[in-house]
Amino acid sequence: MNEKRTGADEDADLVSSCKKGDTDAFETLVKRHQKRMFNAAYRIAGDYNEASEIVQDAFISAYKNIRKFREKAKFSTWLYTIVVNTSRNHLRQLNIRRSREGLSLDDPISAREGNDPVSDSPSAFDKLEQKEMRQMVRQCMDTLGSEFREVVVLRDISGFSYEEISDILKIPQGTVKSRIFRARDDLRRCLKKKMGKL
Amino acid sequence: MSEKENGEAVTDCGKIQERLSEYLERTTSSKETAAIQEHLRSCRRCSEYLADLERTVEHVKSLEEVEPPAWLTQKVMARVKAEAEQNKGIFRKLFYPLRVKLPIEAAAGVLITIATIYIFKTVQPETKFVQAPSEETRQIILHEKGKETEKQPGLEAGGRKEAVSESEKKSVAGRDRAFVPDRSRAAISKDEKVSSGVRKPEVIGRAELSRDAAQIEDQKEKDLMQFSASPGSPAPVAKTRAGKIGEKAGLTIYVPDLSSARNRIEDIIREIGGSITRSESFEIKQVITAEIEWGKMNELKEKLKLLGEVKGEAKPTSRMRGSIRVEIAIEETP
Repeated sequence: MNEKRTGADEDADLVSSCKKGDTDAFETLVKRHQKRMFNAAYRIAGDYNEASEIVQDAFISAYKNIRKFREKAKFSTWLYTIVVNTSRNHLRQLNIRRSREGLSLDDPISAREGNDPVSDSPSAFDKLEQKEMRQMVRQCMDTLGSEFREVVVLRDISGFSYEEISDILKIPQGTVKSRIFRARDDLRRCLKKKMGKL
Repeated sequence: MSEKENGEAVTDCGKIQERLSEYLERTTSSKETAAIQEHLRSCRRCSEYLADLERTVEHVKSLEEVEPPAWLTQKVMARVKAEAEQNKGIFRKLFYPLRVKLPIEAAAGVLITIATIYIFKTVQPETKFVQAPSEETRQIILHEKGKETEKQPGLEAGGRKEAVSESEKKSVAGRDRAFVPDRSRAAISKDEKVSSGVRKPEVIGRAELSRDAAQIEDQKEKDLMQFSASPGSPAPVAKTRAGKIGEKAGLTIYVPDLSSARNRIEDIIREIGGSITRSESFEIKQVITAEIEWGKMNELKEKLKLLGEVKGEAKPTSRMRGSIRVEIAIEETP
């Protein structure tokens, strides 16, 4: 699922309007980017409700700080940075809450929703096998460390380049590559363990 | 394959596998790609690894896009608009309507500035500036001193002299015993106010004096009555004489700091029950005139000695009782 990202040109005019206080322009940006942001947040946080909160907070943060946005980078890249940071903050708070409740930090699946929500798309009806496969993939992704999960989501789900991921996460490209390798390797082992054969 | 060769192969496989993620995405260099392809041709394990990796990535990518809640945009925009309204609200509250609020706020700003300046000036410590006497005043004082020296030679009979500046209005406590044995007293100018109370002269009869002298004697008697320790008491004590001040009797004290010494001396005078009647500042010295009990003279001197070198003597005699006028000159230690 490589996502098609909106070109910077399309966002630039809207961003300029937003800087002048045009909330309608901001609404257009929200509608344009919310699904991708939501999916990124959902795959990082692993929880649908958490993802809703994360996306709201991320967009509010973007609105408040839009005057600080330098139009050298793409707006979507900047937005993803906010989403990732907001996701991290939420996860941190979630972990603190869960540690107080005595839940294991290594057992995220049991504490969260087990199933992907049903898509509204008419083609959303999947074979049981595929559904179970996706379930296992999600479960294995949940077992990854947050920093590895982030790079896999941005690369394999959101389709960003190494350079873009480096900008979003503020880490060198070499680190991005090594994390992606490590994340995929861990997923491979996890899936192999669950499925027997990939 | 030997163990060593096996070990090397494992190491090679490990290195190859590390590059397979990038190889999969076609981001390796051509040289590296060739090397990997060559290795894969002969290594089944790495080929399987690559296949597994590929399928893993496919599975991840096959995760369906999740639809966000339908209300998400609405909720986001509600918060955005509330934020915008809040910002606008503050601005509007402060500045709109412009023609009403702007002048009021400008006037308020000016008033606050004025009040601040006023308060700042008010709370600043008051500094007393002691002016040196003008040249004119000094000339008058010197002139008076000169006049007294000229016109009262008779008074030196007792080895004591008293001179009073013209600026002194009323005589204060502190009287010299001045015997007026001869008629030269009659020549004393009416303008001179001799601040001494004297015993009624036994030698000179009032009728023999000139009108002016009689007036002076009357004044002396009045002063005596006014300032003596108790009514009808014998004539008050004699004044002490300073070393270097001039004809005014008193004490001289040499101190390191004039202003702080002056304050301390004033405190000392009050401590011993005295009262300060005059305080003058000159260029190089300050002079305090005070009225104290004669019996406190030694105590005063002892306390002054703590502040600096004291000169001048004031020895009490049996005839000295009541209050005296003391002039303390404060000079800086050379």
